[in-house]
Amino acid sequence: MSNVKGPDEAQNPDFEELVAQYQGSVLRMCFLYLCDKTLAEDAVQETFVKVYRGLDGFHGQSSIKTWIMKIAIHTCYDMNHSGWFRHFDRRITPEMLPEAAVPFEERDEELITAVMRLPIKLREVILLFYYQGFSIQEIMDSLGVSQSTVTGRLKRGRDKLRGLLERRDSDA
Amino acid sequence: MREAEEREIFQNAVDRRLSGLQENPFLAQRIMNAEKGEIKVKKKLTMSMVLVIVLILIAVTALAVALLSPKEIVEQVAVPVAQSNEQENYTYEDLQNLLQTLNENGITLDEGSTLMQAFKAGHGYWEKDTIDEICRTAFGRNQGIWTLEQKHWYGEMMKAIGAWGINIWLLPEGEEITLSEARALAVKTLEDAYGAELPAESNEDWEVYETFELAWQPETDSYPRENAQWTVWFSRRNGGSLSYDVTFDRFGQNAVPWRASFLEHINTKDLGTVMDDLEEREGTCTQWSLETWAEFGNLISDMEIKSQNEWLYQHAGYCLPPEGAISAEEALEIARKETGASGWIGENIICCICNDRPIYKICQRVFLDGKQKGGRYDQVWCLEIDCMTGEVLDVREYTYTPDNNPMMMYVPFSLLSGVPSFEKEPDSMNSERRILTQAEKESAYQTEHSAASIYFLPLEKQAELFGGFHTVPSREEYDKALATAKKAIASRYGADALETLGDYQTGVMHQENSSVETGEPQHVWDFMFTTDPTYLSDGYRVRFRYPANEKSGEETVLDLTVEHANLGNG
Repeated sequence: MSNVKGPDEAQNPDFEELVAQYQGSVLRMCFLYLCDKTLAEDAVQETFVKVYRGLDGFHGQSSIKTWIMKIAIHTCYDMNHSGWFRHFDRRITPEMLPEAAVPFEERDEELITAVMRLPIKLREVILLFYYQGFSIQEIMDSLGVSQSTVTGRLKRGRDKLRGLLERRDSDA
Repeated sequence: MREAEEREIFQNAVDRRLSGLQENPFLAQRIMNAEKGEIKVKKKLTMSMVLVIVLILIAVTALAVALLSPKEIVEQVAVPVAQSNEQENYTYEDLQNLLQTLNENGITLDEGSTLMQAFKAGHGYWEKDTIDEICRTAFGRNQGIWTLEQKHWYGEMMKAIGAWGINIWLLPEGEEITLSEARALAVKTLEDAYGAELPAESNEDWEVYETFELAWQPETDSYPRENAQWTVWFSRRNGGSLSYDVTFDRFGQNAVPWRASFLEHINTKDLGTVMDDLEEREGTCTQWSLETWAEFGNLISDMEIKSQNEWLYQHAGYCLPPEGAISAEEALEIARKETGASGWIGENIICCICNDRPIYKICQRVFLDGKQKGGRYDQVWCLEIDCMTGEVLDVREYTYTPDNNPMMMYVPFSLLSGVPSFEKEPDSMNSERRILTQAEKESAYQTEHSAASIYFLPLEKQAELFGGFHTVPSREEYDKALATAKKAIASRYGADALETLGDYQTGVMHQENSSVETGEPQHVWDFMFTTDPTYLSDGYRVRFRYPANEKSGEETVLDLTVEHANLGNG
């Protein structure tokens, strides 16, 4: 990953390495946002097309990860509001999750389905905060909303996931 | 602090539970190519989107589809690359390009296939098997039910890459009966023979499929069109065990009807035939999935046991991993770490029962230089891993030596020491069935014994059956050739190699033909020394030739090859 530069030296990040580094994370986030594997794959593709086209204009004003995730979340937002989306069955059940490639715990699945059932505005804040590790400021920048909006949504989202984000003895 | 913990829990949960989401290894390349205008980036469609699109298209008009079909990709990419290769396998780069092309055109191969496993491990793959996998993905896993056109086209592709000498799968032409006539004739024949009411085309109760293929003519060692034969099958769907088939010649004459209950049919089969059936459908057994092995286990569970190998297969307890088991992919990863094997690695995995414990049986076949090629593997590792815990229970290396049973790749190690002995069953090819005695074992030339392999038919019988170049040499010639073969084994594997082999039998094929280099007549000898004429699972094979105008002897022997008889079993 040596070609991927930090925010202050991000003039020429290597596109292939960016894809290799962030594709998995973007894919999982898009899946949680859109609740559909194929749409998520489309969103990932769309995201990286935009990244590729925008690389020259990226001057390290944020971290490259923040920039990519911002593009991804906006891509998901756009897809979520497209006409196509209205035709989809939006019920969320564990069966619609892809088969896992590594062992997982039952509450992993409970948490995932609970996140997918969150209203979209809460879901996007939760994803950026908990999964991507964004700060409140980065979420504000990414979504173009105020601090109170972000913290309010974060609180409501966290309340709905209550119990699922607590460490248990087995985690120790 | 709480925030960091919650993030960690969240991230771990997402990464674990959504670990099955597959990244696209070609995404960056695709985007860059697309942006440079080389290809169009294709959007995948969900079923819902597909439905909507279809409805719109129906409402408006048909739209020309620009994507390449699997056939076009085979014709335009896979075959030309194979033809330009000197090797029989695609390199990793070849495979990467081919998979990328497939991907760009919306074709995804089974992630669990041996091909994809090889690719993920950074290796190339056999050309024939790669094309095979594409075709099975496109036309169906079972080659038998492909259409005549698909079979014929596949044969042409095999011919084009040099995998087949001729295309035995034909399309009717001229005066030969057509497909619809063949099916109608088959329906009529079976109605007359069994009173069966069968459809001429597949429906919800019956699957109807057929082949029109060349048959070998032993007298001329050729496949003349006059011998072309139709076979039409009727197989009951949904749990029915009844099946029918009819064979007849290319003009619809000499029809032979056959009715079989599938289970009864299985019981009359030997293990080799069951394996053949599954291999026709799924590829060689090293490519079988866990499901296919479990099916194989079921099919042979009631089979009458006639040999040690059959006993081993039947007692291996092939099954699917129980609930709560680690995944096959995890088991393979554990195995890779355990052996640390490097280079080109072909893997296969089986789930079976060892001492009432479900285990994964994994075999790694290794070429140390990283290049996939024909012949013996540099290493063959066999591992047994507890299905539930992932514990490595045993690791052994198969070494192609007589004290190694190749069955160790396919059955639990624990079975190998407890296998009962079976009287060798003579093969039905020879009506004069007789088991070879110890005293006769070295007299392949003059005995009347038989075996599954044609090597163990008497030379007279071979000449009678096959004709052509197969001839019977003088006793003196045979003895000298036999001595040459034994000396070659002693030279390569040690003076006591044959003695160590034990109660072996000697089989041989002999031909008189012309040397490719000189055009002069020559004798070609191919000896097989083994205790297992049915499966050739042990022993040695020796091949050589010498000019017909000279006596057999060391000084005139050409192209002498000595190897283990079980070369193909790895």
